[in-house]
Amino acid sequence: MNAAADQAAAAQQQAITAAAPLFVRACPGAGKTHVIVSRHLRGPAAVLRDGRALLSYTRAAAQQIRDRCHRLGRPDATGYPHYVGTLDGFLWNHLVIPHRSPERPLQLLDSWDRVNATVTLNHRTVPLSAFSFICRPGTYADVIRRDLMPTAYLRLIQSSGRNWDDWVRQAYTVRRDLCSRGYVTGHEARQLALQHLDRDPGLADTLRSRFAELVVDEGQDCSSTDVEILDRLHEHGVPLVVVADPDQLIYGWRDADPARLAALENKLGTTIVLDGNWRSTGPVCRLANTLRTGRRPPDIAVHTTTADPPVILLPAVFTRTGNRHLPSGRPVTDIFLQHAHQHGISPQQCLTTAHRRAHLPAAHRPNGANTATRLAHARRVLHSATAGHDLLDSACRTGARTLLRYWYPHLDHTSSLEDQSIAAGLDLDTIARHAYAFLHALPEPGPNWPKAVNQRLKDSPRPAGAAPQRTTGYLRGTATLPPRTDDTGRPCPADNIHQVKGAEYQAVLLLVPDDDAGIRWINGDPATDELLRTWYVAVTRAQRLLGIGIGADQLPAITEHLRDRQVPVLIG
Amino acid sequence: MYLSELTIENLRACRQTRVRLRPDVTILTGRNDTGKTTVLDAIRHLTDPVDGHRGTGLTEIDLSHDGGPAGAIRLDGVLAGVRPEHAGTYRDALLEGAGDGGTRRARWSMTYTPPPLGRRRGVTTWHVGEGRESAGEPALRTAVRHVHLPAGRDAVRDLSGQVGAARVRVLLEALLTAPGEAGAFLDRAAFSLMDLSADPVVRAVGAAVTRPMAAITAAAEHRQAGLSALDPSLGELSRALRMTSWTSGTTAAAAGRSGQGYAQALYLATVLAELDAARESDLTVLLIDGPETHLHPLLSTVLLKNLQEAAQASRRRDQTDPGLPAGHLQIVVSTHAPGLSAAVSARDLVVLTRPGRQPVRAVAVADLEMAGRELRRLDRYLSVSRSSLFYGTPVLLVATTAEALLLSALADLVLTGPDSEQNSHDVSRFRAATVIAASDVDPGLILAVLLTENGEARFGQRIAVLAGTYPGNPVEMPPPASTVRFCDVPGVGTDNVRRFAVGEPIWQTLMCPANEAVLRAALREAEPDSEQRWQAVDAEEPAERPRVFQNMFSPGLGGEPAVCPIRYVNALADLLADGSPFTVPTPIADAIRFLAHTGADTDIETP
Repeated sequence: MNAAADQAAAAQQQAITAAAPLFVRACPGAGKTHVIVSRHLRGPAAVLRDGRALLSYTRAAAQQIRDRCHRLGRPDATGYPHYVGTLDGFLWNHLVIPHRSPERPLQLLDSWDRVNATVTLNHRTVPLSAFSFICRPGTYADVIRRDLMPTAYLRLIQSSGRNWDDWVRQAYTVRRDLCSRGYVTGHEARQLALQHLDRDPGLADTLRSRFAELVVDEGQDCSSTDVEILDRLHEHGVPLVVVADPDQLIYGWRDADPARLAALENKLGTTIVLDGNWRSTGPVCRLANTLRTGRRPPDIAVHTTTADPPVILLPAVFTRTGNRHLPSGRPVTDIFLQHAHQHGISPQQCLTTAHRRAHLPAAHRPNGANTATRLAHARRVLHSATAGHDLLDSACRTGARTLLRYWYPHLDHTSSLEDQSIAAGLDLDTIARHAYAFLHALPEPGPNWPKAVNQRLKDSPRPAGAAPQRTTGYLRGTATLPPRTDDTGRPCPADNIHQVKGAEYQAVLLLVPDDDAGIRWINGDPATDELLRTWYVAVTRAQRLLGIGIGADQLPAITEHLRDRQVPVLIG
Repeated sequence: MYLSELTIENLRACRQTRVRLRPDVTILTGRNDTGKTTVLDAIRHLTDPVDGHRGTGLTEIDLSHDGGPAGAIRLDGVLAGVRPEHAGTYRDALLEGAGDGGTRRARWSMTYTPPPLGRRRGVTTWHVGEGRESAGEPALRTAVRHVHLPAGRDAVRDLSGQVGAARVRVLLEALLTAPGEAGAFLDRAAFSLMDLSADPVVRAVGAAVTRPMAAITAAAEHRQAGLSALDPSLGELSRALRMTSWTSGTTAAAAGRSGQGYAQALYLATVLAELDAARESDLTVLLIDGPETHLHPLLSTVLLKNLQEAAQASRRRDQTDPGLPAGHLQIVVSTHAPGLSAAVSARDLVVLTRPGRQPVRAVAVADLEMAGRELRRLDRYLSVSRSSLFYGTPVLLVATTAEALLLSALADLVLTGPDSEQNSHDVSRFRAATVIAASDVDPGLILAVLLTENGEARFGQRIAVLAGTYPGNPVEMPPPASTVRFCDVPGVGTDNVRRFAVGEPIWQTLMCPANEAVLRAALREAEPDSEQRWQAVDAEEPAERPRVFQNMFSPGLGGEPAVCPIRYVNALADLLADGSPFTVPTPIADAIRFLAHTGADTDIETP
């Protein structure tokens, strides 16, 4: 190992052994998972209490930790008395469920869309999920942030003849009604958790008796309410370890607050910094450093060599329909893939990403949201035979809703699929089985597709209790799907930055279509400009090769800025 | 759908064993302690039992201890041919790619990690698809079920006990599905039982018990006793009814009175009827360990044929309603009976092997990807010969059956040493060899099957080839096409595949001055009328005598009939058994010693 590696490993060891409470400030690629798992496995096997809760922000991250424990031959370290899962799941299971009244069962939804919740005024309908409820600090009350409402819905609201306050009142009414029926989303669950924690001090005692330590990963993703809950737990003497990278705080729009996180860090007392980057090359680390606050030195690239490729800047033109590389006129991704090929990197290891999905190549943009389109998309997912479990499950749910609307017209179709299946007397698995068969039997979308779908609805085998009523539940509307991706193989991965957080790829292409990219990059402050932090997250996904597709007019200034900051660049 | 593939890690002898299974019937063969039962157990642990009674789970004892410490037991199964009507159940476990008609494959696995020192319970975790952890047991575990018929099972007890009653109940319920049908049946049963209760003998029994009962209870509350049929329910009736069987012209006999063999057949018949009547799962895997136990070869062969047809029929059923289970049936049999495997195609065979006590490997005939015509030829041969070609024995390849008899007769003379017990073991090993006569089958085909490299291993057993040559040109001259053709097959000449040059036919090799007397005596014994032909042998110089001796086995120039080789060999064997002296020619003695190999445990050779 070289000196940088020795230094990085020593810092990791310190984070593994230091006592809680503790704040670990970990740069991208710092080996957080290694630190968390190693810290966890230092404990004795097969304990009956004094467990450890390892809490991540996403299920994928939690699964990564579980998998690593399994691979290391310690599956016991993922079971009782330990808890390895998401922070939301932990709060739900340990702070909400114990206080749930038997008369009022609660159902946790990942989005209000799961129950087709909508807000309607003057014949205009907006999904409830478009309203961002944010907890007002220090209270259990919410505000709805207008600035976070998608533009299309804002326009709809403006054209409704009713003012914003009317819509807000209506949104609260709809949500209250849903909550009274037992539905909550993660946001309401967090509020409930905070309330219970404040009103029942015994809850913290219970947690302390089971857990010797709570380790929260990706602490920068915590909302203000999450931080408030962690703060309370700390005050109640629950030993906390928070692992975070404030530079990667990109959920400001979901109420993550750098100041609150900093306050928590101070309260915890001890901070260990992991600034050895085991993932990215020197050029990538140097470029990333230009996108974070403070004049700090770049993170130490543990595996860097003199042969590391420079950062490739690709001058581009961005239009509503896509992008093209200015000198060649070809899509920017194609040019980047050529560069990656020269470095022996396969297309499957090349991520294309952008702040918004709309800026990604067309095949990766789901278009439209009407029922026919959703059903056509579900059919495509199923027929691809390559879709992952989540997509497939979501496709089956879409198919199941279509079937239930037709089979049981009298059901409340605004309730969750789980509730509908209970009301229909069917188990969810049986409905999913019907849905898969139904979706598979659907023809390719084309002219008269809804007619073909409705015929299939009529002809498909149905459960004994189904009682369709003529054409109620029939599919209407037109399906508009983006053209099928090329059949030569799997397309190279592409998603928006928030979706690729935590991932890593050999090569990453960041598309920066913003007209003010140069000014923001050179003069902006990442402490206040979340877009810069979002770009920071994107570029730090790269292991070896980084490309930036940027407006040609922005290119000269940014090139000069990067060269000033000793970032090796190549105009491609 | 069917269980197409099984990977077993660290379970007993199976350190890292991949077994490919066939859609209908898979026959697992191999020597003892090669992991056949372990494969069945792996399927048992991965799937739910049909009757819901889960047996003992995995424990530390099951962990493989061969070849160093093993971390955890991992069992991994792949379900193939999952049709779109059924795939929704397995949506979290599907693998990428689709087959004809949109059929998919699904994978699931369980990992058992033994407890740390001082603890008793290990940890079992489940994964689905490409290794994603499953929260709890995956749907696959319950949607795929098994019925396990272990070796040495007491069919009589099972038929008359709770297991049998449960099966009867399932059959009754499956027949009584129409509205009111069950009620009407129970009414009929109640009337029958009432008649029985009213019988004077039954009443007399009641009266006999009432007397002491009244005496005992008189001080408290006067009670009476009697025999009566309880309120009939399907559960009560299932317990009261017993499976019986009979032949034409006889009366029904309880399973116990028909002998274990027919009890076994009856038990399997009830299992099949139950699976057909109550299709509760998408796939039921019938695991049969040693079906030949208690069964006549004819019965076991027919049984297997029937099982195969039942499995095929289950797959032919057009089950297109996703709301109903697919009801498919798959059979996995572990056996030592060559006759049993002859009932199915060779491609359904999977041979388990442990070369030199190494971890178990599974070699499937299907993996050889033989052309249809070749496979049919092999099947025909196995069907007629019942050859134990795939049962892990050494193979002796000779020109004719008479040569095989000759070697058998000579083995006692060759395998003699100071240790008589050792000699006995050597002879047993030699006699266990599978004999294949080139006159019966295309030896090229057999050698190709035995020696073709097949992924991790090959069937190539310790093979002795007694190949014909011509005198004076023993090596270069290729053997005639009618005899052994193995020249182009790879592997000949290696340690485990040896060629032994003998005469073509073999008789000339036997002739030497020391053997003349006994060879002549054998001729006299076998063909008393042909003894004058020996004069031709006497008339020749010693060097020419082998050729002339050999000619006796062909029609003479003067119209003399050929000596029958089988009769001759039998006569010679009788003389040798009586102690006549005989010098065994070197190549034959070498072949016998080679087959009676006393070194490391022989098994399928690893290339």
